[in-house]
Amino acid sequence: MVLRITRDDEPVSGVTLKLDGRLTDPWAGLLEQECSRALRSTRPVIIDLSGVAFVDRAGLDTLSRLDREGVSIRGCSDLVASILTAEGIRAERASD
Amino acid sequence: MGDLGPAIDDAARLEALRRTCLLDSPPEEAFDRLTSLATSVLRVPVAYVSLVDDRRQFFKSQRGLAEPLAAARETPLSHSFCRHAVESREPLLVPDAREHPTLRHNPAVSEHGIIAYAGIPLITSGGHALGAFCVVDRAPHAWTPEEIEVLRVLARSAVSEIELRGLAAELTSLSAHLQTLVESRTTELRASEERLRVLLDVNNAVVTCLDRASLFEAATVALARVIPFDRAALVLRDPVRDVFTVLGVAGPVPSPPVIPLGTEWPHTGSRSGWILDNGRPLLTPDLREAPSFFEHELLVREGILSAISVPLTVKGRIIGTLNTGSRVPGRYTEDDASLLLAIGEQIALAIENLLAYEEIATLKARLEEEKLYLQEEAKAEAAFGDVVGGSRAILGVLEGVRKVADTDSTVLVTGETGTGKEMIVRALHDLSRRKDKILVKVNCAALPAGVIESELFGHEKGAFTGALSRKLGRFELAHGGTLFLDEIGDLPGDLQAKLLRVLQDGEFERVGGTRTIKVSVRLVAATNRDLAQAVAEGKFRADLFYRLNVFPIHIPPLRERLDDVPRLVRHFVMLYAAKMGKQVGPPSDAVLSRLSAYAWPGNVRELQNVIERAVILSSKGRLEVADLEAPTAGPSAHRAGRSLEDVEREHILSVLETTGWRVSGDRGAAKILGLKRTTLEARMQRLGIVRPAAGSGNGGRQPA
Repeated sequence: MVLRITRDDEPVSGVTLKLDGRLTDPWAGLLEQECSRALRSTRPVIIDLSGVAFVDRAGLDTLSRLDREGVSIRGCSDLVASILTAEGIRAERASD
Repeated sequence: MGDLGPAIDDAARLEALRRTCLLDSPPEEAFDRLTSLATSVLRVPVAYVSLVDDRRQFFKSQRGLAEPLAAARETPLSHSFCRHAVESREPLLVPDAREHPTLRHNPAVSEHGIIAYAGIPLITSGGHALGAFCVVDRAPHAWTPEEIEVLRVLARSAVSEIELRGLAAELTSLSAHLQTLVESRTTELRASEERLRVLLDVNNAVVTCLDRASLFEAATVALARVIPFDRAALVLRDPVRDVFTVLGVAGPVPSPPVIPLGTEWPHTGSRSGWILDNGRPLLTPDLREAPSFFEHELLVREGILSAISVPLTVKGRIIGTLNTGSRVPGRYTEDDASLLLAIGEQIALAIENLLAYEEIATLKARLEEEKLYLQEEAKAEAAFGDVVGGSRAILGVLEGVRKVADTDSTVLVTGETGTGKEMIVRALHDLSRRKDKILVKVNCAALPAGVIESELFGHEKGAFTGALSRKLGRFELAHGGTLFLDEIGDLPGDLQAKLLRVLQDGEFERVGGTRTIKVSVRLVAATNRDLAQAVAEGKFRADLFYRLNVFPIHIPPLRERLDDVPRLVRHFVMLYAAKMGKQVGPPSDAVLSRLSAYAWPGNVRELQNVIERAVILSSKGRLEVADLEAPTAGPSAHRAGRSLEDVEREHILSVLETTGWRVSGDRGAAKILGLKRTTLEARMQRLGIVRPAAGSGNGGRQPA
């Protein structure tokens, strides 16, 4: 069960990290590292969860922290969005 | 004339004479030639070579002597003229003995008719006068200087011959001595070769033995060929506990044996202990005398009175002792001890090999079992992931887990069926220091009573019918890791005792085995029974319960934490949707409130199953949560014959009944069923569902 993280750099819209797979331990830690690096560039950082169908406890904790650091979470399925919202994490649905 | 002068009995002279080996030897041509020459050249009737010891003069060669003197070949010293020449070490020249002041009284004058005499002493290069070369006449004879010179020459020849004889004798003696040396050396070498051969035989016999019994047998057979014994024993040392155990005993053993196999005894006060401390053999000629080790009394009781014990050393470490005993006191020598020591070296190597082999075999078997077990586990893995819930109750549980996980404390997890005990156990393992080691699970209720002991503790080959080979039990498999005993309340009584021992001492024996196995295992147990009650009823051991109950973790039933239901539902929906690759929308509030209103007798597992089914049944991304009914609602078998339409009709009917036939609005049937009001009404029409008139009570069915 691998999580693939694809980085897309746009001069204006910022850094987008597209995730594909399951957001679980230990890849949650990897995501956090990647985000930290991206945040140093002071441009907007976006996490695209359109390829993620499952998030475990570690994943939720990571997203919670990244949300507080100002990372935008987008592209969630309705189901995943409902879970994130219940955890108090701000997330945009793909259908929005 | 009767006294012996100092020169005659001089010890050195006599020794020199003896070494010539000429006394009493037969006549030889070399000397006879000289005496013959003397008589013819000097024209005298008698000539002889005489050797004079302390009693007599012996004629090595003579010519012209009359009988019986010629045959006797010797005369006593009293009759000897030569003795004077020997004593004086000067030629004795007597022209007429009858005129000589002392010699005229010599019996030889009258008895043998010696008138004239000339004798030259035979003086060797060593300076000893051994005898004389003489000529005798029976008439007066004035000896001329020429005649004396001739005699001297002949005397010198005689001396040469004598010396030659001496050398020859010495050579022979040296040669004999050499021969003796060679023989003795050859004997030594053969003995040494024989000994090496014995050691080689011992080595060949024991080094290929890979089990204890055959090693000991081979060793004692080889031993018996070279050292006599009535009893032999191989003793091994356990360095961890500092005790000795008997590996094997040979020789007639009384029944019951005084020292049975497997007996352990301590370091201090034992023969083997002494050997460990001193590092050399112990040879005891009589066991009844001091110093006394406690083996002595036992051996003497069996009639063994003398013994040798030697260390078994490998790479400088003493791993045990080899001991032989005999009924005969003083039977053994230092040589026996050193031979036994050498044999011991071979045996020690073989034992070392055997122990290493055993260890490898054990590790290999464990690895195999681990591999098999993990393969099974991987197949059966429930995709739990982690514990879900934010209620106070569950957070309390997680806090407990966090506190105790990293210790090695035994944990007892309690809770109803389906509350997720296995997940808690997994969390305990993953947060502990043993997280990189194996987690082994045993369900005590699922195993038949006859098999459970073997499953837990393993068995030896042949322990019971069907035990075709040695098998490692779950405890051994879990060594270094965690062992999870599920449904521990179902453990049979006799196994409860064995489990208690493992918890207390960390040791056990395999079924049918005698060897004590030590393991380091962190135990976690789980049960849905009330163990305290079981103890009160005498079904569960109190001492085991207290041991297990060191740190109890109780998981509350789901109905006590219903506020966790929405989170759980969402989590399971996500889990199964991802697993099945289906797109499913989030559960609606209606569904969530319905699910939160249910008592969940089957707890989280029941919820999980319901959601799994709902995800399977979902279509167009909409979750279909089937009706929740209590298990006591009747067997499901008679439902099998109904059509889908019937099911739908009944479902809609029961929901309508719950809402009091309210269709629309927040508490209406449409919301609960997840349908639009218009859709529900259409469906009701299609299925012929009509609200019954008040008081009719026929369930609202109208013939289509």
